[in-house]
Amino acid sequence: MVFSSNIFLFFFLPAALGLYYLMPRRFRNAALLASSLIFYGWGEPKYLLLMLAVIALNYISGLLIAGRRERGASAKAVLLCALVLNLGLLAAFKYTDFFCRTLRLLPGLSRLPVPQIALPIGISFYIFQALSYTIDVYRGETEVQRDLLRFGTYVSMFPQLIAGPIVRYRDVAAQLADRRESLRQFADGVSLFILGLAKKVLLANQMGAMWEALRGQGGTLSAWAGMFAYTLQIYFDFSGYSDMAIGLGRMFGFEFLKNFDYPYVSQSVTEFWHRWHISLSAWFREYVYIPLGGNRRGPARQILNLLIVWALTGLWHGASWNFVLWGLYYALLLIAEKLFLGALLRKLPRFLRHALLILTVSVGWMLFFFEDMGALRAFLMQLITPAPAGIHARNLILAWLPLMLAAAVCATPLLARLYEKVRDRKAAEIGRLAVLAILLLLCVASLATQSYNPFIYFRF
Amino acid sequence: MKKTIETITALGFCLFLGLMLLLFLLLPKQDFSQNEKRYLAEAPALRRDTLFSGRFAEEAENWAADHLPGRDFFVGLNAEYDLLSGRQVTKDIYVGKSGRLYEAPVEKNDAVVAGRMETINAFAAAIDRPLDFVLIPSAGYVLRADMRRLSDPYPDDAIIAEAYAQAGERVQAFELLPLFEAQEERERLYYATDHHWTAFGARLAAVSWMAKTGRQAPDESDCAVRTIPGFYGTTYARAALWCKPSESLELWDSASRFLVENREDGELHEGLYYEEHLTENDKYPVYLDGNHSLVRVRNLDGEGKGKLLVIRDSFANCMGCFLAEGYEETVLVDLRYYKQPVSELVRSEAFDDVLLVYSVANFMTDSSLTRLE
Repeated sequence: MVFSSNIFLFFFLPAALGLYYLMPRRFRNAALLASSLIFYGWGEPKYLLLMLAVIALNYISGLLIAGRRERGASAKAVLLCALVLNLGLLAAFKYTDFFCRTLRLLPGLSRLPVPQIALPIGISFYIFQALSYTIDVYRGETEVQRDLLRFGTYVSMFPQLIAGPIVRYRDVAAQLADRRESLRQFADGVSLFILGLAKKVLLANQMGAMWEALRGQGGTLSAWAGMFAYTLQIYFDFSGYSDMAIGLGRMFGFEFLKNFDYPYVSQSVTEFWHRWHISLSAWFREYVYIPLGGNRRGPARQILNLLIVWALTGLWHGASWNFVLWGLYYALLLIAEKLFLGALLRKLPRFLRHALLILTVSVGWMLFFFEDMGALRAFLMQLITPAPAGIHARNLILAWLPLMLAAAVCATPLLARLYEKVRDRKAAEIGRLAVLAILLLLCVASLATQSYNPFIYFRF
Repeated sequence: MKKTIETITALGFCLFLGLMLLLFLLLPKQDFSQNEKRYLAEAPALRRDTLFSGRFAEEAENWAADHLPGRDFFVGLNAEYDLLSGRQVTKDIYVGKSGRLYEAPVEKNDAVVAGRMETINAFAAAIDRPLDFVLIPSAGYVLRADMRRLSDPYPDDAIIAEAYAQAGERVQAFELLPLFEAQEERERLYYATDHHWTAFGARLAAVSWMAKTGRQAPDESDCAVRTIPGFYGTTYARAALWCKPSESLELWDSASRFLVENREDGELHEGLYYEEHLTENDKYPVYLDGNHSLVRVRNLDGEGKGKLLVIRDSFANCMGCFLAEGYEETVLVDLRYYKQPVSELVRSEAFDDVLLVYSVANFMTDSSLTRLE
């Protein structure tokens, strides 16, 4: 189930909210768990068992680790076992195809059969989430959770199950046990949810349509406009989803950490990765970079650590070599910034830093998008080869330009800052409410149109 | 104040969701969408096998999408929003400055034109007799003065010129475009909410073409014209801009009587017009009952006037009503549905004239034309 669908908005969500708030407080986690299991099983009935297995695996690991600790024994073996099993499951479902396809490139193995394993939705998110619990218990950074219901709720919570943010157990441990839902938090959640939905449906989907339309068009302008369209699409898609997740969390009394902080206003790649998909880079920093030694073992080791972490980050995003390249692209830039590029950037005027960052990130997204290296090369050539765009392409770009500019503005904190200045005024609050209502209606309208298919030459 | 706003936000949202849910469950469901001319999804079957295979989820999503309460309103809202934000060129229906609706232009593709003309020339050679060829310009071209900025240009004149230039010896191309361009009131030629031409436009084309062979159509003064209001055509349904006024459709009746045969069972229909379609929004199928593979129109008052074969698209549904005046029998063939070689039909029946008439848009996009042999 996706958040931007009629079934979710008008069937699942009212039912889930209704069930939750009708329950007395002590059954609310159970209600949330039940709803989440239905949410997950709805789209992937077979893989529900997989998620339940991951829940069981990490719950038991937590108990075993705590048990051994109490007896003064080393829990390292349990941790290793848990790591192997969790990552093994992830690898099996997500990376087997990739692994086989890569092996095929080796001489003599070209006819290796490639098993077609379907990717269970959300697996990258919930396995990382569950792992964060097990590792934190081992490190003593969080108390073990003996209540299976609570733990299950944590792993499977539907707001962030499918597309994040990756919620670390210790950030919500207290809220699982004791949270007080409030009208203010609920209303905040509603606002954020609607804004996220609007980002996804009204901005991301449109930018996606623009990118799709321009990809078939020739000319330099088409390529540049298309690239920026995709850059906007992926931001609004992802941050929209995160906003919806955090908004939904608030409706159920949870406060998740923010996942995006206007990444496109960054002035360096280092800053970008502190603002983009914050929960993922935090996870990799906490559980891979720092255990590897981080920057505490000398510069050479730090470079190696960065390369490893970013290769894995890239790989996490998708089971294909272009994602690894994308990760390494950023690794090299980050390393360069640490060594000399950072100092160089600080000498440049501010707008140039912004411009360079946008350019860097946009080109990076092309690496992210094109799985086929040949297609990527052709596109990059189109970017740098001066060629006129056809009239249709020019019309498309001009037609989408207002929305693109609006989207670009929405990608900056400008609107939020303007609102902050006037927020205490009654008119501003009412205005905001009106805007939210209009956005919600426009989103429903857009979703309705997706299924509208007039069949002109009808045959009875 | 803040508390009130928060209450309204929270409550408003929950009420909206709850209301939609109730309406979903309680409102009676339509099975057929007149605007989309398709059957809407049925309620999904909740069984063990459909549940576990994920099919239930898929069917439920389709059902929810098709039966959203206020769906027409929401689709219309989205269409108006897109129009307001100037993204018309991304759609396949253009809105003119006057509010008229047009199909977006087809792209000129020289390879396609060459391929089509090759097929047509080969067909003409196969039937070994003159073949008349008419290309009908699209409304968007003839009424291009009505186009808003940022609309793609209509290449109809170039397509027609290119196609006619490649017409072989046996193919007699008829210049309809200059005739239409010479009209003072070009808006009368086409509908504002449908991609077809009006009865006026069709009659103009039919009468002019028939004059070439010396055939007469009944004079305008000898015809009774019925004006049927409440017509909303194909472009209206596709554009989903519901707040447009409807238009009228004309039915021309002359003294001649006709019998139409278009079904496999050979059942004959009196008169050219199938008036049961007049109760629908899209009334265009009133002409010869819309699309059929083979339509035979017998002019009971046209003894000795000869036989005509028309190879056509849906534009000839209307034109055919006027062409039938000039012949004893008119046969219309639609290549999308007629599977036999047309040359055999020509060989087996003695046609006085063979006419190939297509709109530019269908000429370029209808792949069934490649089956012409």
